[in-house]
Amino acid sequence: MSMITEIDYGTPASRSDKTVTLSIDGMEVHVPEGTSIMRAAMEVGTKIPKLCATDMIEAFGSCRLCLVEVAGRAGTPASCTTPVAPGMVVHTQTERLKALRKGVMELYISDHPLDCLTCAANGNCELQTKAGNVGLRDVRYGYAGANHLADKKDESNPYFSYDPAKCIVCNRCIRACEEVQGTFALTIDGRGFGSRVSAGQMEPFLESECVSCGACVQACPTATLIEKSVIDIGQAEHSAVTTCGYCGVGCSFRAEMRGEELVRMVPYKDGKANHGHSCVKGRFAWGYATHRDRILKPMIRAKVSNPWREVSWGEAFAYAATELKRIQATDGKNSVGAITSSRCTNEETYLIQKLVRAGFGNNNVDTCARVCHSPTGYGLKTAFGTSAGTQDFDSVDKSDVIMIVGANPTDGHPVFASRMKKRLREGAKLIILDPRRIDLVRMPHVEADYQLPLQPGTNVAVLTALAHVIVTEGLVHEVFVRERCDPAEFQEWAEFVSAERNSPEAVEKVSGVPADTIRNAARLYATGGNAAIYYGLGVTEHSQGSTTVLALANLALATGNLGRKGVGINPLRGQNNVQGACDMGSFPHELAGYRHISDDNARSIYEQLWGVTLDKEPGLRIPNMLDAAVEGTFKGIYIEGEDILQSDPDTHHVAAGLGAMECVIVQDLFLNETANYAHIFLPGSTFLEKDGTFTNAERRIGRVRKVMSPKNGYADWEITVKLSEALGVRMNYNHPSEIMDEIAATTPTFAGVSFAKLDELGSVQWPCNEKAPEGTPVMHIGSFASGKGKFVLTEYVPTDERTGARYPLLLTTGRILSHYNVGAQTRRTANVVWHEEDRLEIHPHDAENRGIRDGDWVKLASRAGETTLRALVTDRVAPGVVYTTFHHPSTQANVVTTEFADWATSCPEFKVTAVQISRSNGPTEWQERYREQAEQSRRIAETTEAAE
Amino acid sequence: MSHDSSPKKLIYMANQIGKFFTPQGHDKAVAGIANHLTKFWPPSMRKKIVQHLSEGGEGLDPLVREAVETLRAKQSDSPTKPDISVSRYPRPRFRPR
Ligand code: SF4
Ligand code: SF4
Ligand code: SF4
Ligand code: FES
Repeated sequence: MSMITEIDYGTPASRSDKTVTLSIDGMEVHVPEGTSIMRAAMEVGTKIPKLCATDMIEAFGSCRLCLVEVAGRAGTPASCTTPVAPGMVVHTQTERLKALRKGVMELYISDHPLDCLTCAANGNCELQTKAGNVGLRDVRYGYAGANHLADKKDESNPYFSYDPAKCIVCNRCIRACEEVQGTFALTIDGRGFGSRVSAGQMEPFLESECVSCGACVQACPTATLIEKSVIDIGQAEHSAVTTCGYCGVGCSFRAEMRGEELVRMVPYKDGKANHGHSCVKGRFAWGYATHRDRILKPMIRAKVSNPWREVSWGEAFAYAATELKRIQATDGKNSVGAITSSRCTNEETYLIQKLVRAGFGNNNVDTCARVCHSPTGYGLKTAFGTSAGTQDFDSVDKSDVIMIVGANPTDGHPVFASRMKKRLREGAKLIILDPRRIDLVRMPHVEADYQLPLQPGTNVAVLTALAHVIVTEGLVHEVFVRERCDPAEFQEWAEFVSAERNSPEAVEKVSGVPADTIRNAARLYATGGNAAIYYGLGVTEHSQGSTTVLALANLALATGNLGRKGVGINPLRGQNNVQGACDMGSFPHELAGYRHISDDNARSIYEQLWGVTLDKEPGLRIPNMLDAAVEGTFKGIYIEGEDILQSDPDTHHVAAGLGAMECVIVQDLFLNETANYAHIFLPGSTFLEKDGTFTNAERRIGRVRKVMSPKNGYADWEITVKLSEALGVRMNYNHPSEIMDEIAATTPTFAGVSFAKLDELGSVQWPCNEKAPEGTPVMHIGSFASGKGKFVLTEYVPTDERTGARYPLLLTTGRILSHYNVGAQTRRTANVVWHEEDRLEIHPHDAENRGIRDGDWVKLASRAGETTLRALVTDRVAPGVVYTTFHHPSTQANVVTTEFADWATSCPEFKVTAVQISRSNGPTEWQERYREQAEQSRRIAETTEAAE
Repeated sequence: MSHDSSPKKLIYMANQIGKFFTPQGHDKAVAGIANHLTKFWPPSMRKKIVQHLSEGGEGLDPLVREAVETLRAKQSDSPTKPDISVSRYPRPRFRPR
């Protein structure tokens, strides 16, 4: 493997489609209008020296190193800020320019420490390179005068350091923070020679607004801002492009390596999802991969009260196979099943559902999308015929109105949020539906035009009221509806939404959102130009989750906001491969590509290939499996990469279900909470240790590339293959690319996908087949997969989870930027400095009534259970609403969530739980017991004992 | 609502499905509910709800009851085999290593 280097063109690409021809050093160059001279030169391989320019940000023109001569023009313009013109004749290297550049360089170097040999950026420093480029040989000014060499370093950020002594005040970091990240955390403090880069008001980075995205570090041409891992390890010597293993944005990174050691992750400019940007998780939080808590040897035990016993892989597989076969022999073939995870690659998920369908002989396979985006699958399939978001991320650049519903992009999908913020700064309008005041409601240079702070559980009422306004005020896009939808269905729907009970005035009473705000938001959505909807788990995790997705689809259909750039319905997926896990047939009723299991044609494809007869009836969903376990009819489960004890609702019930099973097989990196109830533990591998693909929220299939050998011995796909073989199911694959070949050969929407194509194109968005060999960025252009778009009636049904005298407050849940899901990975990185514990957000009014002060321990109780955590008093939440995250197992927020779920998909109602809050002295008895039990359960027998 | 797949929980779930389809009018709603149960509920749960109907079907909303009736009609056409069959692995020549 060699080092992948990306060219820095100095200024961003122009989007013009007009071409300009000019001459640079005698060479004819053709570039789009608006391109800078610097970029045009680089296009033909001429590197004009530069310091303050880099192509991730707009040109600034401050360093004066990039000067050129243009025939017929006086002076020496800066090539980064001067656009090309037709017929222009440019010289980049003349005696005059050489002298000027040397002079500029000399000034920079005179205030720069000359410790290049011991500097962490040695060999990868632009200042050093440019000094070489301009031929600087000596510096006439000594260090006797004023300089900054003694300035103090800021080491407060756990991942990068700031050494002001090395700063050349090029402003690149500041502009990156503004333009790329949109956080505006950095400024220049002071003037002239005294000017210094400063985070916030001369604060340490950690205490400033900085969200540690790393954009400034990437932009910095010197070692001023540099990754601590580079300081520790040294510069990398080879690299590979891979896909982030955290959220559904699916950012591309260059994993930069020394041998098998990861030096740093650098966001890949050519990555189509992130265009060279990143967030703190993907960029920095990969230390868990080598964390000492990782389990590297398989382990088994007969009873969960026994300590674990380390065994060979062979023994673990044989034991697992014997147990599963024993259970099926006594309790029937439907008594076992499997759960796959959105953290698995597509190939791994495909293998697990294959093992279940072909090996177990049933369809008891489910995925953690059950608890997050299963309503998206149901809703979008019903409305448009395809269970996926309609746009690519780039589409947001063409949006005029952005409506965010139940999502918090700056925390959950930070890199996409940066794109969105950029568009909002350019003037797009913003509507936010959320019970909590998310950051986007108001932040530097972004302000929501309308915020609809609805009562948790009233999404359907409010969205139907928006539709009411659109229909009754004549804002329907009639041409679109006539051409693309069924007129009778539309008519019925229009009458339904027009009913008085769906008017904003009526809905104000249940939702608490002023009727006027609903009306204005509806008008803006319908008439403001290209309107795009982005939504998250605040839509799906409700008893009416699927209905809410349908209500969103209705709005887009009625206003014609589908089938082109800038519009659409876009689910923001939580985990990296939620989309892919669903695509790969991991739901109990669906084969890969969303073909129902009762579809004879689809089944026969697999029956022929696998040489088995498949069950044509849907299998058990996760909650069904747990119910059946409690009932005594479901006894064995294989869980890969998922921690249902922590992530699923009503922890007591999950524990009861797992506790009732006879064979729980957990495959994971760590002894997670679910593993407390496991009999067999198969150590998993990280995304750095395997090959495969992830599919992000925009249906983009990106490669995951192995950069180090699995510390546990096997990549996850190999473990499933070997487990299958122990069960007698042959799986003949030498490499994940062969699994993808099988997926492509059997799944029409993936027909054109192969590792070779992904290597060639970088990534593709499905459908990718004969009709769309390079994939499909925007769906439903001209027609829907199902023919006509479907309007569906969305009657508001209040949830049965009601507040009352005992539980008067509504709890809703969410997550934060620095942590990911159950936190198993991010809690094992320095990200804990931003979020050591889950906190309960409570409105000052509710806090005061209960005598609660900021930081107090409080008891959070629902009818399902109770837990304690510390309070954060804030008016981000409305009175009557409280909020927490679920990143820490010690809190176990899901102890209080209930079994209420979406009517169509059983997706739990995480976003609404009636609770009471009271002061408390510390952890509940249950928490103490749980901690003890977890400790007990994680014991691993000494090897001597194990050998007995 | 209790936890296992006792009739009480199944009744609740079926009625919840019913509430979504009800606004679509009698015929579409009954067909919609029956279709949803067939497409998404495993046979074991469908059997239980049909069984519950046979025992009087208490608690089922009217349209849901009708939908479950259509399931019952289908079930008596093709009785589901009792679920006691032993798994049939394609290659039963399993030998522990
Ligand atoms: S890390 Fe990101 S947020 Fe922090 S200062 Fe740098 S660019 Fe701004
Ligand atoms: S910290 Fe780096 S990017 Fe920022 S002004 Fe200094 S040298 Fe330039
Ligand atoms: S966590 Fe998400 S936004 Fe952050 S780097 Fe990874 S994919 Fe990108
Ligand atoms: S690179 Fe053009 S002025 Fe600095």
